[in-house]
Amino acid sequence: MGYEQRIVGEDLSLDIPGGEFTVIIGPNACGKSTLLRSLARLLKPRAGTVLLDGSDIHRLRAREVAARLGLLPQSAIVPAGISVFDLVRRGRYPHQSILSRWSQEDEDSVRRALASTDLTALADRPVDELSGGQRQRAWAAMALAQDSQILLLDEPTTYLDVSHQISLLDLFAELHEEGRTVVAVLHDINHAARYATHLVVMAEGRVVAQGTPRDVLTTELLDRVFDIEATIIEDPVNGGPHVITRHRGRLAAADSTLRKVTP
Amino acid sequence: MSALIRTEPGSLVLRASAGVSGRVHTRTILGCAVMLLLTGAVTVLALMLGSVRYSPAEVLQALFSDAPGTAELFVVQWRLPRAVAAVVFGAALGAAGAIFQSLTRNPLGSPDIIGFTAGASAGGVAVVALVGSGYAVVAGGALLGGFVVAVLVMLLSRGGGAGGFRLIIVGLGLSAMLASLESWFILTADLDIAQVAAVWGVGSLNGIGFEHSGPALVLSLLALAGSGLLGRRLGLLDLGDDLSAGLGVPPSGTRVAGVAAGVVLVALVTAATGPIAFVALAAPHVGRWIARSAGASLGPAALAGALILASADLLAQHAVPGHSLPVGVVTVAVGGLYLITLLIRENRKGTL
Ligand SMILES: Nc1ncnc2c1ncn2[C@@H]1O[C@H](COP(=O)(O)OP(=O)(O)OP(=O)(O)O)[C@@H](O)[C@H]1O
Ligand SMILES: [Mg+2]
Repeated sequence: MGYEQRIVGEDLSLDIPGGEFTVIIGPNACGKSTLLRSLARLLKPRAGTVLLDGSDIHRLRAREVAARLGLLPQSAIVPAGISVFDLVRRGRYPHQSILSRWSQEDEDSVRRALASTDLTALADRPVDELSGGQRQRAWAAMALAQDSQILLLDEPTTYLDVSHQISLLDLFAELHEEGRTVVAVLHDINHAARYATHLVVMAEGRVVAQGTPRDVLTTELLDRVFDIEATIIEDPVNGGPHVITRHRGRLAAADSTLRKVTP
Repeated sequence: MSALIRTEPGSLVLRASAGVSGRVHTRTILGCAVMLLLTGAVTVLALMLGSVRYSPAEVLQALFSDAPGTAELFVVQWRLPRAVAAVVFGAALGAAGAIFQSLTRNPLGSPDIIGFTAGASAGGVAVVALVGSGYAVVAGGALLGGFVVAVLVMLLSRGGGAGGFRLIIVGLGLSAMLASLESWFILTADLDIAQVAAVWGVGSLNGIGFEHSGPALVLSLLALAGSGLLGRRLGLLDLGDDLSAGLGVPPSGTRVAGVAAGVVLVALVTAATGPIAFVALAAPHVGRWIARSAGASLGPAALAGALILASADLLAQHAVPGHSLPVGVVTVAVGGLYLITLLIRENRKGTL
């Protein structure tokens, strides 16, 4: 897979298991977004195929794919003057036709998406006057309104405060429990460890490890992929692995103050 | 067939049988209704005024029932074709402007500015000078000119992103070149042909009659209806290529269809009237402002275009007593001022 002049990933074989909450992690520019865009039919792989439920995704009609698979891209353009409601409403496009532009079903989906992203009160505000985090939630609501069986989310929590990060991830976990397939790119390894039922680690355009977070996350892998020194402990609250990174600079600073205090 | 219209705060919801449904902002409907009413009023005024004046009642009588022969002659035979042309062509230009501004993501990205109008005009003048002045051949020349310029603009502004500065500069440059090409055609042609071409080159509704403008009107209405189908796709493209594709609308398809629809609309009008500047530029802004809508908003833009061109033509006919100016002169004069304020405003916002 790749862009016109740049090959981003080669020999990549990945099976996104249906009904799982898959989280993809990896350093910047390793090809996570590119992978997601290929999965969503936005990029055609140079070689090989992307199969959606067994059929080549490029042989399906774009509209049909969109009704089954929703994508929240990493970046989107904020159109001037459009209200949150009208934005989220556009997520219903794959389910609409020339005549049917606002069915009861459309209305229910949009209202549900707004409520679950805590945006009902902001529905009439123009999107371009929202804060970064509110905006991010509006895009997430739009993807939710699409009501697709599969959700591909590229860094859905990046601009959010801690409480909205958790509530959005909880929402995705809920959708997963209802039987949907969720794929999310996250940068927070601990969120990945906590929410993923299937964890994929990428580096330099390749999948270097995949499996349950407990199997995949090792100190050796974190050092190799992210070049960080870390300790992995058992999460005392939620169970599962929890990564604590060792901050080299802080340690050195702590050492020196210690020395000053106790000469 | 049963239909249900429900009001919600700020919007109207329609649910009818056979899956027909929709939701629109009340203020958009009101804004569109206002523009329709104003356009109607301007049109009636255009039918009333002239060397012989009629009252509104006489005009309506001439239109919808039997009237004395002279009233019928003045109102229906002479004034009506011109008034209808102003409305339909204005709507076509407004819609074309909205399409291009949406595609280029730039409030200045209208066909007048980025050179398509100049291309259509040069194509038309070339045909008048070299072949003849029938509507079909002129329309063909205008279409060809419009498309050639569209391709040139796209090629030359590639890499600068679809929207933005480069596109505008390339368009302005091409427009200037095309204007000189047009002058060259006019200068080298025979005198009588040159005169026809020169008059056409200003953009005018003078002396338009149904026998001549009929095909252009019908085709413009068809093209308008066709581009209406593009509205929602353009709305998705407003959100960025990835989101549009993710919602099942490949952006390249929308772009190709949009450029084609826009060029066809501009060329149809230009072939019938000559280049009428600034309507396509201003109509989308005016429409969005009156209908308080956002995004591509083809409907409000078309209505605003109709209102603007109908008003401009009324002004052109009666501003100087005893003289009927080409409407292109009025739109250039008023539109030039508008462009300057727009440039200053955009410059302040830093979007240019
Ligand atoms: N439109 C594009 N055209 C060409 N190259 C691109 C394009 N988008 C991304 N790339 C390149 O592809 C590589 C992978 O980019 P990608 O966006 O997939 O990274 P990522 O893993 O999502 O990174 P991040 O964590 O920063 O979002 C990078 O080297 C990037 O420069
Ligand atoms: Mg990315």
